[in-house]
Amino acid sequence: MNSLVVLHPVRAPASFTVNRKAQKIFIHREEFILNPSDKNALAAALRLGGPVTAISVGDAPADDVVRLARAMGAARAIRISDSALAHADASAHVAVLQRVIAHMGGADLIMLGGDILDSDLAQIGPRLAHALDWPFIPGVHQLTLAGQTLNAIVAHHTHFHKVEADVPAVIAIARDSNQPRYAHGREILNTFKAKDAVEVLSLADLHLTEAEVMPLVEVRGESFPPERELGRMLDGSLDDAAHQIVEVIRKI
Amino acid sequence: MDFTFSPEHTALRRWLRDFVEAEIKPRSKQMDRDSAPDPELLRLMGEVGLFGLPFSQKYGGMGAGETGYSIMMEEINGADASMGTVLGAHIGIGAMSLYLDGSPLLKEKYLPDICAGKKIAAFGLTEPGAGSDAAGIQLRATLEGDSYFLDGQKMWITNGPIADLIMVLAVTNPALGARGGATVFVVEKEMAGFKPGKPEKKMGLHASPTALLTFDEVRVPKENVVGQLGLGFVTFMQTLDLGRITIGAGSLGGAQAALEASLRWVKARQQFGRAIAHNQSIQFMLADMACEIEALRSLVYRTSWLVDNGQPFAKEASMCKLFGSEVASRCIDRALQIHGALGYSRDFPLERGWRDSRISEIFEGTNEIQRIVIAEQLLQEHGVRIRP
Repeated sequence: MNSLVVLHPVRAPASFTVNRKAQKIFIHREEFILNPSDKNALAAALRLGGPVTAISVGDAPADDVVRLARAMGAARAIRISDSALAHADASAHVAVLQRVIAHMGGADLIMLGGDILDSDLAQIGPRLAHALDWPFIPGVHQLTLAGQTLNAIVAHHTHFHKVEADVPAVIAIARDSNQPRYAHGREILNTFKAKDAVEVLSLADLHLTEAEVMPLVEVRGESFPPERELGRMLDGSLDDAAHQIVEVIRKI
Repeated sequence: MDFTFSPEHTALRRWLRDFVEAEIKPRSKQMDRDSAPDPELLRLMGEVGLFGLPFSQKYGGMGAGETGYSIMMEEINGADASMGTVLGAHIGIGAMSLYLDGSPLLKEKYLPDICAGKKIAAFGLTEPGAGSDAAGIQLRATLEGDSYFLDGQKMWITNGPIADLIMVLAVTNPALGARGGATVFVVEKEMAGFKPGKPEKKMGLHASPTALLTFDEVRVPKENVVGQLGLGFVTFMQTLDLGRITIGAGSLGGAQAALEASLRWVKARQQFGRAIAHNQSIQFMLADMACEIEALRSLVYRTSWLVDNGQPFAKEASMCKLFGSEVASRCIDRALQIHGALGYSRDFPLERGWRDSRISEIFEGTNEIQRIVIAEQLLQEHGVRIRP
């Protein structure tokens, strides 16, 4: 069972502030963390057994997250670095990942986090599955493998579903669905010291042209949802409170 | 000149920060109330390698060096000085004397378990009658056949109640005394006649247990002598030199945490219609804290660099301990003043930090002793010998 885990660095929440008045994000320092649900995806992949390859697209922050994955137990780390990928969107990532799978000589399972902390897009999973024509299971809380069949527990609003799929498949793991083990400090030191811990590939290495990774999405600016007004606590008995609520609704 | 940390040390700090946030901070308040470390936390700290952080990977350590060790002490003490002290007593003085001077056989026997946190170490120097005058120790070790018999007491021993291995300095030749006649032994807690006392009730560092240790004719095999017979005092003094950097690094963490808490508070706290950050009296305190912390950071990491690069460091190590402990006390005190009544409340971690930091001016050589060490070295560099 060959698993490929797709990892995203995201800005550390403490490294920036959002100023609604100025409609701007102020970045105080360049500090990135591994997207939390990607860490859960990595932990789930390691638990299944079999070699795990960690992959990320980008520069120094991407290098950090794949190194962390190696320290946690991934057998191989690949980073795709190319200036043409500076503004890569989900479709560009999908094009790259398809070629990486071919470059690796195939994979049985692609795992990623169910949500992305900063952009909250998480489109790569379903689009990659579509491009590969593989089954896709989102929101997975538990994953086991019996022969060639994956058994997944998927959360819905009020209950859980049991879902089956044959490999190869793309699996999105829900945030906080497992507790990733800490890497041993020795592995952290050795992996971040080792020159050859990460394989760096360019678009040329993957036989991709710039046209094939042309982003379809262009970011023209950011706007901020209006701040929610503070709620109001209602006093009095249940009946009083009900009357007050009715009054509020009437005025809307 | 290069003031940047290596990629592996940067990664180590980030990794430590995650561990501290997730595992240590949520437990600190309760451990302080319980006056005991959480055994589950100690197990986890062992599992990820904290108990062997600076030691060679050959013995199961992490191999992070003195710089890595300072990073750990800074990060952990910023959240919980008790846990920093448990680790410091175990690594920096307890296991360090064995690591520096132990025979290959002793190291292979004990270091893997020490590094994995399966065995906790302690450092037995201070006695009821020998504090600053460490050479005045009385605990006797008498040779009979192939074993020594240890008789006496050690006092204020950090990790004493939880230690599995105690490095004990004992007088083997009373005619020579500590200088030339004292030897270090590894004592296992299971050895008959060894008895740790009840944990002392202290002003701070509640979760770091301290005790009186009693040795009643404890039989220790000859192989458990650390280093050369009669030269134990030298081993212990060299160990303490290294330990002093650790106190500086821990103090740095405590002072930095106090500054960060203050910066958060002065933005949030409104008085006289605006955030107290706009008051110059507050700004002066913040500026003073930041200056002292920056100076301490430079001193601690330069001294760690001296150690990792095999250069003399004893004078600078004493400076780390002396300056660091005083900076921490001043910064935490100022932070408490900035926080007002909230700072005095037991519901807020500053009160614990204030109690915890005071001991750093006392233990591992009082600050008065550090001034003597620094002055001795300074004068020696100028051709004046103060003491034989």
